[in-house]
Amino acid sequence: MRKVIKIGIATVVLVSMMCLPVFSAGQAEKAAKPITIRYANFSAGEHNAETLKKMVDLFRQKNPEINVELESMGYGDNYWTSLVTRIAGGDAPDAFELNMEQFLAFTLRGSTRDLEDLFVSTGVSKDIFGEGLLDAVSFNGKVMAIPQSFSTVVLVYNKALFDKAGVAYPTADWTWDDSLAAAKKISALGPDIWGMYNPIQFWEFYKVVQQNGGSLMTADGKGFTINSPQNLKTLQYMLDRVWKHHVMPNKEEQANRPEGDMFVDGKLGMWLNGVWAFTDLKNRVTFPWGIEVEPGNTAKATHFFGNVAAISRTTKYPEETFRFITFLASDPDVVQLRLDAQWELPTIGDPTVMERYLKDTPPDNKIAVLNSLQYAVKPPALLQFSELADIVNTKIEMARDGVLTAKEALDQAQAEATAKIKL
Amino acid sequence: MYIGGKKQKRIALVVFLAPAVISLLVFFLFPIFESLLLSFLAYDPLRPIEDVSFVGLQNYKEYFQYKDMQAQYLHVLYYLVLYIPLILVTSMAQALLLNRIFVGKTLYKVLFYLPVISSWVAVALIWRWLLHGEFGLINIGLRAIGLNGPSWLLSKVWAMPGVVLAAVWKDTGYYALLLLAALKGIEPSYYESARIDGANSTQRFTRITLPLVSPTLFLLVVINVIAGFQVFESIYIMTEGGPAGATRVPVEQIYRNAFTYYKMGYASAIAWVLGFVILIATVIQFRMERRWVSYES
Repeated sequence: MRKVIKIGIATVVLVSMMCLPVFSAGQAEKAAKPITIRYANFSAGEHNAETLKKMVDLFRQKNPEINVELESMGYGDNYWTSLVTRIAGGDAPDAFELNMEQFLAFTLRGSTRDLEDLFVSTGVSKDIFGEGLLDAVSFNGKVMAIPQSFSTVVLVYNKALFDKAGVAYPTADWTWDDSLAAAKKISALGPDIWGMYNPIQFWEFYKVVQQNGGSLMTADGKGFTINSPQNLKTLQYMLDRVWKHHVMPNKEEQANRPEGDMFVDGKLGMWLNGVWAFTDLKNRVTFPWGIEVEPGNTAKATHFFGNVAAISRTTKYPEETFRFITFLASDPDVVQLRLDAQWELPTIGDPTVMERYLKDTPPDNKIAVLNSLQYAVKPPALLQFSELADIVNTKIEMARDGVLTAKEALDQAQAEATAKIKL
Repeated sequence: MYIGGKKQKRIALVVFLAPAVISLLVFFLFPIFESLLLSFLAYDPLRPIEDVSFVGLQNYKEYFQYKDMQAQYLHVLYYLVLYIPLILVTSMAQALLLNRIFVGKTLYKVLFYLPVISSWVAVALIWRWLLHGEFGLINIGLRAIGLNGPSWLLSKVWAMPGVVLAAVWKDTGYYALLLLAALKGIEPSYYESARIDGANSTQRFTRITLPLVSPTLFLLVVINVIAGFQVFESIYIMTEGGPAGATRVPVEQIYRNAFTYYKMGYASAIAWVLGFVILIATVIQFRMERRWVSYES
């Protein structure tokens, strides 16, 4: 019997010893096997899909242990719907790209992960980012996302039409009056030639009111000031450009043509657009064109757009994901790829990078892109921001379509916002 | 295929029914009851699950207080009042035409069916141009007969009729096909004996054709009323609810609240109210059925 037990034990030991190397080999293999992180993104779109792929390839070369699965969708292709559904369904991508407005919505709701501990554990320095950019993505004193790119909106103008109308080119200190006077002369050039194009909707409105010393909310954020006298004057000015001065086409006259195409066809004197449009304009425009900081009235105010990458609250690989999104924002080769593609502006603080960007023309006067940043204004930070945007936008469009006067529109928007939005 | 044995038959039954039953359970019944549950919750999909709270009937109360609800149902009724008669007349006319024998009938059938299989995005693009106030083909046609057409999609009154025109154009081929099947099912001997009795073509149409296709017409009315209450895609693409909110409909509000405002509970409440309204509308139609539908027996 004893013998049997001995043989039994010996067999077990032998078998375990034989198995041991197999197990350890298995574990070693597991450790070496690359993990996969998923990055949902929209800003590359079709134009920069290849560039983004190259950026990821660079990351893979330098970090072979991390696989990156890109989940790219266009902004219009239900990106937000699908992202929200995935987060709600417990299948959030490890990292996802957000614009500034959605960054706030997602962060206020706790979908993004606090990054402070990851800066410490990975040793990535906060100083590599441009001044103020990390503040823009901080919430309750904690950095909640990595800014990937930013862009400003500038006044883009058709030099040929300015020459033809005998008007001097815009300068940085132009005001509403200057641009209106120029627009009138340009509009006089022909039946389907228009001086300017600024859409009449909420997004434009919250910026333009600030050019006139107005705002949508009180300074302490506890009440709305949508129908203030400055705002009323602003909306009236926006409407007058279409209906009184006729320097901008109404919807009927625009006839479903995108503004970009009208500019390229030489039918718009002045147009506002972001730096993201430069590549397209360079390729399609046949006449000389320039850029300048957008004119203001009593003050200047410009649009600023930023895209950030946030990490999901539920990711299993926070460190690897963090390394990926900081790489995407700051690696010198990646930054060069971004600049080459003119895909918005990189968020790193290195001044030599900006010099390279400014030298790349057309358009001339690229410094206007950076100067505009000084006047950048942000939308109000509210949990119910989208609702506010819809309330105000509906009323402004009613004014645009002649259903309400400017005063009626803003009074109604003020009343509705006060009733529905909890501050 | 021969399947022998009681047990095998039962297994075969299960296997054949499974795909339909499983998809019905997973994609319809489960979400439907899940949304009923959601409608009593304050549920924000972006927040952690612990933040979900029970709010009772609050979502429903809030919705009924919301004055836009009334406007949205009025828009749907406006849509239905225009769409239903138009689609019935056009698809009936087309079915009668297709029921005759003429050269190029197959080609004609294909052409009329093309809009049905086209995507709404493409259709909307074409119709936005057709309905353009100045350069649109429709207004050019109207001008030729001395009428001044409106700026369809930019007018609060005419935007909905504009959407309806596009929808009728897109859908008519499909319903014509259903009616054609009903027409083919009518015994030719009825017409023969009517002709012998001296009935003219109008009499034959109103006394034989219409009563005998009335079950199909009834079906078309029922499914179109249901679909009409749920109209969304066409409107979202053609007018985005505009101009100035003149074409906003309930389903658009469901979408907006769920995915733009992140109020899933509230959106579910709107959906259940809509479901209830459709149920009532359908019950009313079945009550009225006896008055005008005749079943051949």
